[in-house]
Amino acid sequence: MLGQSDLSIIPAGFIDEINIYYGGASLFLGSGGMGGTINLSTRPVWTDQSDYQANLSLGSFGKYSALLKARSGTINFQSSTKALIQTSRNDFPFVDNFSRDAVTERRKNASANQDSFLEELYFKGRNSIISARFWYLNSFRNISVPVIVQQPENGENMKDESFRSMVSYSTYKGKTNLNSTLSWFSDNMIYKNPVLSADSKNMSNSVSYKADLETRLDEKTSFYFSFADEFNLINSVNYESRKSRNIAGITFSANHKINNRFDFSLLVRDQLNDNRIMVPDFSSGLRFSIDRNKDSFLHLGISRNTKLPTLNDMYWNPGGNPVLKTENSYNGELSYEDTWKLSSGLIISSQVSVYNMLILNMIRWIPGNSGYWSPTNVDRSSSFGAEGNLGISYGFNMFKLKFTAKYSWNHSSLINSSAGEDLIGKQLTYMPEHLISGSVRASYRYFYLSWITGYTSKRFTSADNSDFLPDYSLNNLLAGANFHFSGHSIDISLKSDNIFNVSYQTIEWYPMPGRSYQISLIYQFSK
Amino acid sequence: MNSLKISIAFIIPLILFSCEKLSDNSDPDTLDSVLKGEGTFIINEGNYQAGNGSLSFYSYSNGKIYNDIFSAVNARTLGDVPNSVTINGNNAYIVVNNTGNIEVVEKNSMRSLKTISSLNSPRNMLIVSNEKAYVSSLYSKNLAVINLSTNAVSGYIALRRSSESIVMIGNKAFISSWSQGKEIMVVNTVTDKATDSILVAPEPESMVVDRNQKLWVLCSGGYTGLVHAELDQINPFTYAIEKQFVFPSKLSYPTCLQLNKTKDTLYYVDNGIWRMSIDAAILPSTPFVRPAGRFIYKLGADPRYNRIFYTDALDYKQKGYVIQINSKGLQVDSCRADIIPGSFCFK
Repeated sequence: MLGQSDLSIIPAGFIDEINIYYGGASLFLGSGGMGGTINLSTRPVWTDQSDYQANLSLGSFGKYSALLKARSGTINFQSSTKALIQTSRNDFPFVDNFSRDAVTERRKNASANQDSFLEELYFKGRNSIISARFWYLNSFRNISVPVIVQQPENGENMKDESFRSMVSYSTYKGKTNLNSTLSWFSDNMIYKNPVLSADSKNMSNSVSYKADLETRLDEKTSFYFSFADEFNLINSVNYESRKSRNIAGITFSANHKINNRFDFSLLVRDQLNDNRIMVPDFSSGLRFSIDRNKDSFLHLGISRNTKLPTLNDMYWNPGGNPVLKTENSYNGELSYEDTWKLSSGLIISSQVSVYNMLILNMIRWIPGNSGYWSPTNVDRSSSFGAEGNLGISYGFNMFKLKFTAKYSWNHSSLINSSAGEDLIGKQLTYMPEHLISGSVRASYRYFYLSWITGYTSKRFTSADNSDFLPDYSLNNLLAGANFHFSGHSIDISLKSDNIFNVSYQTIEWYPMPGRSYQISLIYQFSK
Repeated sequence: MNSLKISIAFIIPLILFSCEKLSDNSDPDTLDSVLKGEGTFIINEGNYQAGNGSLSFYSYSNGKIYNDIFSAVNARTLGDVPNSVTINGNNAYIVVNNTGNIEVVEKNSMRSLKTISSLNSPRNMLIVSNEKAYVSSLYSKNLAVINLSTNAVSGYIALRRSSESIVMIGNKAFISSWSQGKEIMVVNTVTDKATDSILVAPEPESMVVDRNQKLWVLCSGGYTGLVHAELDQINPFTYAIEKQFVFPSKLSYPTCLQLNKTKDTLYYVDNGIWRMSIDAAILPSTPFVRPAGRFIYKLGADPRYNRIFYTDALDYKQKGYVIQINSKGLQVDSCRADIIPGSFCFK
């Protein structure tokens, strides 16, 4: 409905791999991820060893979680089972900076609980793999109001129930891989607000099929071709009637190594939105190897991406606009990355990039003369900035040290708007111009210690940049020990988030937790 | 060419000195002295749950607007979605809808006297007598009763439906049930009991009492555009609907019914501003003020003078405008208020 996933209800412990596809690279997974795409995935481990893991944690503000994992099988068959139960009262104290006397209160109606279960089965044949995945999630969240609202508690809450299943078949022969995946997602969301007499039921069902073929012609050239079709069916009390949408897409990409220094890639993707053929998206990149003896590259990329209006944009009653145009982005990026192996134990890596993105036909909900808001394609925005990463890892005998630092600067603003000239060039709301993060992890024998820090610059909360939330820095500490003995492993850790008890808000008038603690115990048994 | 020069000579000072007047509140003495004079308070609703609502004051003595005056005087935020201001004697009551508060301030200084808190979505206040006032509610099915001596909630009147606009004729308070409602509730102001209800078209949003003591009710018809909006004249003694004007298009969403000084001419907003005599037999066919690119949000007519104001909320994100028009509907002044300038309270 919204065309996006709620990351806050996806269990982090279920995920084996996280890949971030920046800018135009996201087209490899599909259209719509204008800034990039985060891909969360699981993967099998082909051994005949079985692993059983229990991860228990207890934290401040009534937070408890239990994650159980079991993996067993042979080199041809794998079964992975994961189950999670977690709950949190989330009743953290905060200073009510709206009240006359800035009193300290506890957050109300903010509790959440979740149950989730994931089963994965993998069968490996001679030249093929068949897999099946089933994921059930049940989440309930009370929704607290901003502190600026001091009315009697309204009992607002949201329940998400989701069942997702996927079967896939992969085969490979020589230099060619063929993958085929069929999936069915059923999501049920119920929002309730007793004061507003709101009991909003929304059910979506999606069936999708994707087939892709990857072949390598020779050592220099490879091709990728995919076909995908996704059918969405929505039943919502907020729509006048049941709505559906079918999106079919084909993708073709090629990678070619021109010579010892240059690599070239091209991806073209086109979509059929119901019966409407879209203007093709593309992504093209050129990589130049600065030094053939080490990992030192210069990369230039350009892309075009398309984001379809969400079904809420089109069909929300009242106000939905079924004739909205698609949003389009044009992105250019230049990056440089280098790695220095200064000694056998010391490695330094860095990356610097600059980018510029133009978004056309931006969809914005604006007030109408009939008393409700409606989305229209009104704005044109640009986003440009730079990022820098630095990583240092050092190892000496049993001592290991890893340091990371990242800085990003971003300016995102409207360059054309029907709302008038006053907003042109102003930083978009809630987009910080500066983000800095860093971490240090040191380990010696069984023990490890991590420090993670982050700085977020001020974020404007009004479109004319007259109001803003102040900047803030957060620091987290993690200390623990990991012991192994004859197939058993125990990891005990203590974590403290926001160790300096900084008072901050990510959304105005919604306080965030101060200092908190969490103790975790992970027991793993392998045989 | 000469006429062009003359036009420019007149237009430039008009632009410089009449339009887009922004004020800072850096001179508290000036604000203090201005607040003692006549003018109008303008509620700036701000964005829902953003807590950026504020209060402006437009001074009749110098024609300037003073923004964010509550925060300037009291050094704290007014709250989330203030909806209305009501004056009683030396006090002004600022009803802050989504915060659920009523800020009681001195009307001539804005100095905070008390905060009446924990109200359920309060909207508008009616001064019933020197001792008590009624406060309507968007979500509660009760009307709150405020003791004006203690400035505290003294009780509730069960309406069994939400409430919005309140007017009083004799010992009767007429309360419109706007949100998903289609009734005017009648409350005996002596006994504080609901006594009757009058069935009208869906969503009666605003009401006025004309010079003949007739009750006029503007029914928006509901935001979904499924029902025709309606303007009704009601006899407050027999409760009979004596005149019924049905808006011809379902796309009409009229709001903000107002009366002029002599209480014989109605004004309302419906994609422009419309004017109609209380003796008219039909709805007006041409607007009094065309929107001309503006998003006309709220309307206010000073009952003491022939001053009519409306607000332009622009895109609801940036600071909107307060525009004063004359009896011919022509703009005579324009000032920049704050985010979503809404209702007026004349002082």
